[in-house]
Amino acid sequence: MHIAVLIAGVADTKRPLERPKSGNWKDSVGEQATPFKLSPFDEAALEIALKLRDRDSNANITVVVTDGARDLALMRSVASFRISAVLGLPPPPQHRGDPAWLARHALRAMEQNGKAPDLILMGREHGDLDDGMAAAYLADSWQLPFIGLALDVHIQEGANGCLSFRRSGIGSDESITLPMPAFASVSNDKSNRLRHPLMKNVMLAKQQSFPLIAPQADETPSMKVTDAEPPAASARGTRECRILQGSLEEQALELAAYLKPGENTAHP
Amino acid sequence: MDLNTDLVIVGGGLAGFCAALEAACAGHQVIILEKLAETGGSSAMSGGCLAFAGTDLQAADNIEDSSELLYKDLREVGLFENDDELVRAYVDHQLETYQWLKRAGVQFGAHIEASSGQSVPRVHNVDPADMVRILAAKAKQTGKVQLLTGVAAQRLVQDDAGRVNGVIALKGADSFKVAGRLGVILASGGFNQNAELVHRYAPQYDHAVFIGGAGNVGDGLKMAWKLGADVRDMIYIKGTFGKHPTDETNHHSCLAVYKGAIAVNQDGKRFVNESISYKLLGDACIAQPYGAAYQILDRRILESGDNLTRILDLERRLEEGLMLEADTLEQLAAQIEIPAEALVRTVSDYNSYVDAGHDPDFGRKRLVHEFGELVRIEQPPFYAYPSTAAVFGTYCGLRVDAAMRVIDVFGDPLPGLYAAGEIVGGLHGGAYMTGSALGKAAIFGRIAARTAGSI
Repeated sequence: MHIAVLIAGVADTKRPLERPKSGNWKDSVGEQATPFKLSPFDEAALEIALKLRDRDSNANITVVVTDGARDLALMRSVASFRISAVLGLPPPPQHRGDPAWLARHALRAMEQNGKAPDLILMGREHGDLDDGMAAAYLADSWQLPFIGLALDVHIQEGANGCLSFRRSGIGSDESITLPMPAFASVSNDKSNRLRHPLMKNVMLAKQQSFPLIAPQADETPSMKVTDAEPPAASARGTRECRILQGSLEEQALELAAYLKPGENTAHP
Repeated sequence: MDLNTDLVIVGGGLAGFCAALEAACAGHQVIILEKLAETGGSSAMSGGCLAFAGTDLQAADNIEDSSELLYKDLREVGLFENDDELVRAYVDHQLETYQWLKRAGVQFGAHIEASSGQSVPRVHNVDPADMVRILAAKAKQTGKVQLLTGVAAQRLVQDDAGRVNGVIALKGADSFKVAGRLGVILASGGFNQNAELVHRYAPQYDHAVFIGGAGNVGDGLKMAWKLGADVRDMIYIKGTFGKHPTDETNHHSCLAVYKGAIAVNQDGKRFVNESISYKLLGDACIAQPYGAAYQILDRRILESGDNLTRILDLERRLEEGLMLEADTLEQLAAQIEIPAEALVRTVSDYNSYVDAGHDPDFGRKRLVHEFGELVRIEQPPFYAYPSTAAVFGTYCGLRVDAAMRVIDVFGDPLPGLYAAGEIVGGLHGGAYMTGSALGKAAIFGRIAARTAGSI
């Protein structure tokens, strides 16, 4: 059984944002200077894959990392679970959070010997720039049977080629059966909390290199990064929490004003 | 904005506040300099264990202990490399300090455990952060102690006769002198957050886990060095065995071995007598493949843990998802990627040693030091606790005499300079007894204050 996990790192706020070697902050966008970590949803997807491998010693796992693929620490943290293949598929900056770009490139990246995986798992949100629609979009694009917000997956005994997915239903958990190949987005709960890697595999992961897949540009970028600069001081914690009011545009403007250095004193 | 007081104390951890309270109760004015915004230091982050002997809590548990047995254990666990005079100072003042802490409002847990280097149970448990807060509040109540946070001592100041009488301090960009008529007590901790300095003495720990107060960078040590202070125990920097190597939430070691577990390496083989000091276990562990090992135990050993003692809270580690569990040793071996036959053979051999009362491989006789009967590992489920060595403190540093006067490289006291707590070398020697680091912070802090106050 071949299981693929599609991962997008999320910003790791505990690791400082290092100034790019060029000295220009705009080079940090999508580059390795940006520190990433696994999201709880991706951790849960990875744990479900590891549990399936625990139960089936012939199972192998491929992990494709999109956002954060150039962050060596993130790649090593994934590889430290003795993953068969850990690959990077870094989207161009203008395509981060773009499921259409993922749909065009991610399935091929997850293939093994030209064959699509038997099961594809991804967190219920794909990185910081997805509000939860990417998984369903990808399943539809790839025409795979799909279940959202799964908590666990089992290979059904006696039903060759079928997978049993558990997820929270109204009042009680529900079990849904899908044939392989299948695709699931995963939510996190106590049952799929990511295990700790063994020190042996942490050390071995430090010696690994991680191939980056760079799909041929399929369009001229419609956006480009013109400038980037971290704020001189964080605005967080300087004001009481409240719900923004007004139209979406008004809310966005107020939020931007709050976040921009030197302009966050105008509103209470 | 120079300041004047009677006694200057550098460092707002347990040693600093014990010294401050002792001095204030003797009528002296004190200024404590803490370079971080918060007080507590490594003391507050510690496991909260203090080694005392002959206490009421031990008596309530029918534990026979004495200062003499404590002295014998401290010397033995220190491989007789420790300073006899300092060990004697610890032992002579430990019981009064235990009672003094209780009078100050420090609450000790009722249950006493045995741990590293102890012939009888003498781990007295406290909430370490609470303990420091209580002592800080008590010191403040005297009206004689002024705490300056965010103020870093930079250099010691001497008068024309060479007597230390203050420090140059820095707050932000402002440099000023804090003068102390009675001198200066350095209680600024160790240096386990200074990788370069640790490397000089213990390069084998370059890749170990380091856990300690952010301020423990050796600045107090350097200030004393500049005046010619001597050092002790520097080559005995060691990691403590039992830290989970890849968990970043629980910073405490887990010593299931002291309840009967064995330690095996990635090949499934034992590599050490598990009853010895966890510092020596740390040395042995860091030399294993990948610098890591597993503590292997069964249900009975797990249930013998003590959730009120952080280093023995085995069931809590299971609840935290840090302990791996399996119904058979073979299944456990698969989880930790050890050859199953190797683990089964190792446990089988060990059980036969327990039955025979003789461990031909490593000579283990007891659970810990000279305490506790060995137990077979046989009752499922079985558990593995991944473990490496973590450097929680450097436990070496300035040479002092029994009065906590800092001694220079020619064996003479540096007038006006005293030290207490982790910055002091010489008490632990070659290894370490659980509870002796917090114990020496409290005991030596008080001694230092008394000595300074008697000048």
